[in-house]
Amino acid sequence: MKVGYLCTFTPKELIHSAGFLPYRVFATDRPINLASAYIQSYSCSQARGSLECALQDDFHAFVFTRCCDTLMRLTDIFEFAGKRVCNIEFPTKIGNVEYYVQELRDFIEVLREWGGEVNFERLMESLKLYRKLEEKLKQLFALSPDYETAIKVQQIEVRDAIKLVDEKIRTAKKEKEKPKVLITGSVCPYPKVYEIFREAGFSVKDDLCTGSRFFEYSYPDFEPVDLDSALKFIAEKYMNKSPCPTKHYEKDKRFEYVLKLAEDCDAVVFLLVKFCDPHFFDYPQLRARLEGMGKKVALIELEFPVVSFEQIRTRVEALREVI
Amino acid sequence: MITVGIDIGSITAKCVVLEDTRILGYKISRVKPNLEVTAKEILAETLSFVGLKREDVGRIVATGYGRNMVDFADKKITEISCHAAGACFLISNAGTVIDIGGQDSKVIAVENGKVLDFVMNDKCAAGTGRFIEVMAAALNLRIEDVGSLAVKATKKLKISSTCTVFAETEVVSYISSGEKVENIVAGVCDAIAGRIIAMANRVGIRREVVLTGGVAKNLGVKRAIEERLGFPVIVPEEPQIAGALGAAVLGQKA
Amino acid sequence: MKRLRISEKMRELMTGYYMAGMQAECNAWITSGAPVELLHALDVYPVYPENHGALIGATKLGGYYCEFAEKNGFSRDLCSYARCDIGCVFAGTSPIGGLPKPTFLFACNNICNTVVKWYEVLSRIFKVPLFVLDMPFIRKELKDCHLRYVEEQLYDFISFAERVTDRKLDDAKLRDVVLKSMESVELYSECLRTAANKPSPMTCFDAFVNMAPIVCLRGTDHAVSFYKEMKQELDERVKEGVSAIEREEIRLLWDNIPVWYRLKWFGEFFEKRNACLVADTYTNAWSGFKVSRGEDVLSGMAEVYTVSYLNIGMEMTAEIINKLIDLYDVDGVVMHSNRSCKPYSFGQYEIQKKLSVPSVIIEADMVDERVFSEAQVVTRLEAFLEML
Repeated sequence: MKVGYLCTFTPKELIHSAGFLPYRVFATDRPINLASAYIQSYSCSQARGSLECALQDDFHAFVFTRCCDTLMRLTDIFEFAGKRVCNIEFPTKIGNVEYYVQELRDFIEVLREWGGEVNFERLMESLKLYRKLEEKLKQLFALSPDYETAIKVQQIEVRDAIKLVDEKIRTAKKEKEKPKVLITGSVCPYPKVYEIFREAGFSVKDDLCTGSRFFEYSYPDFEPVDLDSALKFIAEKYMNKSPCPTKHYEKDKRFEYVLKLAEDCDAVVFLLVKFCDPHFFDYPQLRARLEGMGKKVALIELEFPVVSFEQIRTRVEALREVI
Repeated sequence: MITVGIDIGSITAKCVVLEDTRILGYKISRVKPNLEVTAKEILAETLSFVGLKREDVGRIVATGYGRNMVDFADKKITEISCHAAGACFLISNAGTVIDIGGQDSKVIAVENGKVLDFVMNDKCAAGTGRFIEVMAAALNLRIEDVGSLAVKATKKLKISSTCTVFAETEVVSYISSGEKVENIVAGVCDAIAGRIIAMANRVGIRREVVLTGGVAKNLGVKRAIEERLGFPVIVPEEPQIAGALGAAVLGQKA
Repeated sequence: MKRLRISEKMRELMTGYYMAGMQAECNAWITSGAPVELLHALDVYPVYPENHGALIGATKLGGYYCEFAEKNGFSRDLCSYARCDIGCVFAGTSPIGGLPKPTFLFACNNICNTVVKWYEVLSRIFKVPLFVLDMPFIRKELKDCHLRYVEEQLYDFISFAERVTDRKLDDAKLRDVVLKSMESVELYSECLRTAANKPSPMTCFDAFVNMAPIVCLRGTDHAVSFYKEMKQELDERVKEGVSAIEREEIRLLWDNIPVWYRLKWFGEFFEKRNACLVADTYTNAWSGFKVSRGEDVLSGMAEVYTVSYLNIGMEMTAEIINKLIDLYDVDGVVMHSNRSCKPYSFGQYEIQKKLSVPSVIIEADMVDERVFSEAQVVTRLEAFLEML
């Protein structure tokens, strides 16, 4: 049974260990129609597209985390549309592990109500599997970033996902040295967009929620011994994941992270979904810092479903030409 | 009593003369930059068409975007109330009125000519007549031909963007990739229908569904709406005059 | 509309407040829903960028100042309070000559997560420390772990502020400030409640115009005496049967932040049609900041501020609106779908269906007058009034 989620801060290991398929919901190729009866047109198309998908497909339930103002309201809107929902209050301010462990304990109760049992052994198994998947994806991306795969693995059983990535690693070839572009943004579930960058002669690196932010973690260095310490492990794992603009960090960790990623790149592209407030607030100051490092920077605004690939191509090619 | 309803829309002006419950005649004209002149002219034209003088008229009611510019009107009522009244006058068992106008679309829940609830489009122009106009221009078509072309389509191409500007780019890219015009047009009509049905879902759809406004004459849009609803909708013989007629009807009561 | 005499006083009071800010030794920029009592207790002058944004909106210069931010890369789709305030920083001025440079920043996300991003931007511009008070969203129930989480942060904040200002928080003083805050909130609520009378002695526009002291000065004597006087004036009106508008036939409730640059226009529009917007959800939200009289000030504060109006689920929101509908006995609700305020606006379509009276949605923006379409708004409102 599919349990849908939108945000990479969702503890998918818990959902999986309860016997459900954690399924990341994205906007699809379908036009957004039904969703506009539930939410205004100045919400981002990731929110509207996911709602459209939820209204048309079969899901057991949905899990939300409060990442932005839109997601916060979306939980209620999904519920109003007749969906089974749960919101986990992942803190906006990164730090308090203990508080979040309690949230996770409550989440286990919710999973139980949904018909899924969580126990220590099964949770450890899920933790191990997802860590394996994450490490394999890292390996694959080090050879050659493969966004189609990175997106696909978020919608299938983790064991199949590992097999799929294994296969891809076998056939992947190390990319040739080419000018490198860092793509930063939230989500872009359309693999064709990344191809445009390659076709324009870039090698690609990313800071995206449909790319590396799905699998970049630094794991706590202790071995869980019981359910409680496993929850603590999850809490720490997610708090130390690649930083996201929807969270507040000490010492501007998010900016420092992006600037470091950009060091070996020639250009940076902000691939932003229209109406995505957290990213658009960061954009001007982050751009200035990147330009201060001598990087060429471009902004490409997206609306889902992406249809005007040629417009994107023109911008990307123009960027390639100025390097 | 003889009443006159004048509907000054964003693109066309409509005028209806009503005697009790009998339509004596009506006129439709293009709106001129000066709305007051537009209103005066269409009133004079319609009255002379039915052979009446200004003194014969008991009451004049203005509606539409330009209603407040019609100084000589005895009363001004919004097009929502007027479309509801007009549609119910024509189709007495109407439950829902869908009016796709030039700048604004509305879905009105009605009962015996009274408005129960209504929803209008948000700022975005998708789902209005303006949307078709922009697409028709991109395709180099006359707006009147859009509907008849759409019904000849062999498939419906998907117009995914809700934004008029982006949708125009989509249409242009279909042209350059050699898609048939009728298939593109069918996609445009379906996109509008999608928006309208989403709006209608907010008030709830009750039969009979009556389609009014200029776009109701567009067969492509009508069929696309019917496909999505799963049952036929009713288009009055002259859907464009529903607002003006409703104004005249409400003039009888006021 | 019959203006309240107190509005004149409000102007003087707020002018004094802004002047004091220029001279304050130490100030903090703070979000409207944050526990300002802690600042007052430390003698830190609170600066309210949101109130400043409202003021700019009211002077119809929102678009002008927003452009300064837009020229610097801030998207036009971002919150217009944030845009025009950041714009004023770039412009180096504002209708009141700009806000004083902050000593530190204090953002609480119980009104939106946007303020976190907005204050991060400010903290980079001014290079001053920022404290984020993170409040979990209370969709259905307030849990103990939420309260503990917030309470711990209140202690963190106190040590943070003490460190930055090199001052010590005095418990007795904090208690005193909280009592004053409660008193002013109580008085302000009483003022708003007078609108339950028929005819109503005030409109929501009076509430909007006179809300600045409850936002900026709650916890001080100024707010207490101001709302005492306002209450007196309203009571007089009630006693004499004075109506705020010429003829009150239809009573309405406003939802969302006002359209600041059109306050007068809306007021006249409704008055001409004998409709009175007697109350609104925005100012009534402040009447919720009532710290309980329990022993522990900080845990009381944690609770009150966590369940603030914009930090709760839609079911509870609809319930509150329905209570306001009953209390003020209104015939309909006018909902402002505010492009700038997603947490306030998203969900309105659903809430509409849960209300006990008809409602209408108009789309606008609180500060950015460039997105206001008069003809669209007029048609929707007139049709709504015809329907009622």
